[in-house]
Amino acid sequence: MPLGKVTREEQHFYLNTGEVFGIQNIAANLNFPTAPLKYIGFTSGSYLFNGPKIAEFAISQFLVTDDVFLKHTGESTFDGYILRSKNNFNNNYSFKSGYLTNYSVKCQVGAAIEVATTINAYVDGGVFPTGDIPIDIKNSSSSFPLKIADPGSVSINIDDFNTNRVTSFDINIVCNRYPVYILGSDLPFAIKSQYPFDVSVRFQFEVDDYSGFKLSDYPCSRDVRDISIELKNYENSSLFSTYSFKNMTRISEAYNNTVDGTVLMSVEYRGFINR
Amino acid sequence: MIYFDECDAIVNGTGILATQASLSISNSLTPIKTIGKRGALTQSAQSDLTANLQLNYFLETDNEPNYELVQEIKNFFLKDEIYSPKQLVIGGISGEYYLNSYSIQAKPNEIITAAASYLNFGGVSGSFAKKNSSITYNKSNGNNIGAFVFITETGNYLENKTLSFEYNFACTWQPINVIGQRKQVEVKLLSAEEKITVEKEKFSNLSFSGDKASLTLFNSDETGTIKIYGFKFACSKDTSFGKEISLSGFRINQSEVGVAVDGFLTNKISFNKYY
Repeated sequence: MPLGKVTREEQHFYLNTGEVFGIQNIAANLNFPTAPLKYIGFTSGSYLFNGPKIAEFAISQFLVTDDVFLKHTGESTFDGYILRSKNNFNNNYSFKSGYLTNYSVKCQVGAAIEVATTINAYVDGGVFPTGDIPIDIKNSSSSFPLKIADPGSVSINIDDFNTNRVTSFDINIVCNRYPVYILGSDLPFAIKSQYPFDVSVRFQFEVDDYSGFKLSDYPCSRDVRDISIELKNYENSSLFSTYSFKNMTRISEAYNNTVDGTVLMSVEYRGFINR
Repeated sequence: MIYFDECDAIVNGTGILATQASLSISNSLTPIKTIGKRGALTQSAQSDLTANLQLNYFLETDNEPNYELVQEIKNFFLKDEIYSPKQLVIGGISGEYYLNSYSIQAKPNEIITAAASYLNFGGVSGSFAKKNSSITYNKSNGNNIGAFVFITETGNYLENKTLSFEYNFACTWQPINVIGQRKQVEVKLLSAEEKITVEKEKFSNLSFSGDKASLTLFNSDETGTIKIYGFKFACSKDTSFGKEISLSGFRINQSEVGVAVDGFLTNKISFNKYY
């Protein structure tokens, strides 16, 4: 008898009760915290429970419809379920009370815009009894409004990029969380967000008339600016995602030139998301 | 050379799960100097040999000889007897010891650790030797290694959120020496002190004369208890091998507030009891 295998058409990811479309990759890691029991006079060894239990999920998605993860860079928590179908809760792989710990979006010429996230779940993760999966998933939509923001439908509010051609950008938001545990319980009684969250925005562009910066001018002359990036649907130019960051400080730039290519510059801005 | 798994760590006839044991033996040689002579004439002993034994170990709720000695010393203040020292053996080196200090440390989701230090007057005996097969270590196969601490009055520990816990016991011994005898005739127990420190998310202020521990922790005049259970408790709620520390007689005498970058505002409260 041939052994079965599970392929992508049998894997659907639901965030709370709605399916997330455009998923490219899901990786889950359950950490069973242990410490080896070793002692003077040691006769037989074992491993003991020692540390917080955390289920780590990494999920990436092509932005073919609304970005469902961006709104969770704040305080909100959510559950996630990987199911064979919306009507089959067997053989699920799930998490409860997940918090986004990292959010990044990458856009480059010649590729679809991709969002990558990491999620920590502090309450539970793994294979859940079917009764623990919300029944409302059965009523969720199996189709979605296609909205594709290709690199040509992205607008950036930096004047330099009107003449210097941006070939890629990536945004990274680190959302550190701190589970607070009390004596006597292996579950956290609160998950605290460790503000400010670090934000990094990096642009790569082909140089035309970009004048650049001089190291000795720093710190008297600093490049601090508000950055706004809009993603629009390439079909009708309707806006479907905006990234706005205030007081972003340029912290590095890199100049790159090779015999086979054009002159490339890469600049990185950093700032904070405050509470 | 004898490896750690071939050594014994025995307190009063019982093997403990020591992660570290250290013994320091010293005599009291003092240089004898005289006016009119450069340098020291000789070195002369001023009193008997002393030894200090330090033990760090995993606390077993069903096998804790050090805490039994703490209880024995606390009760000893009611008696009019000469205290008998206890025999401790580390790697074949044995001696008669007096418990000098004892501590327990507990943090959420971590194995509870304990430490004890002992004093010896008169020196130790023996030589490095492999362990005695009659001593049994880790009788519960890890099930009763301390993992959960509850500070409770009513049983509802969630009402009384505690972020960390420390228990310390210290006592003072005085060897009594008489002229004409090299060895001390008696070692007197002069005083003892217990201290409990708990870390909380709420602030407790101090009153001039120090409130009772139960009033500070539970806002009640009843006597609370600290209960320590092993891993077995997590799965079976088996309380048969719990260790208990009564808060009776403890009064708050210190309150420390601390916060640092990337950390939380917490309050460490200390309660003392004296003998």
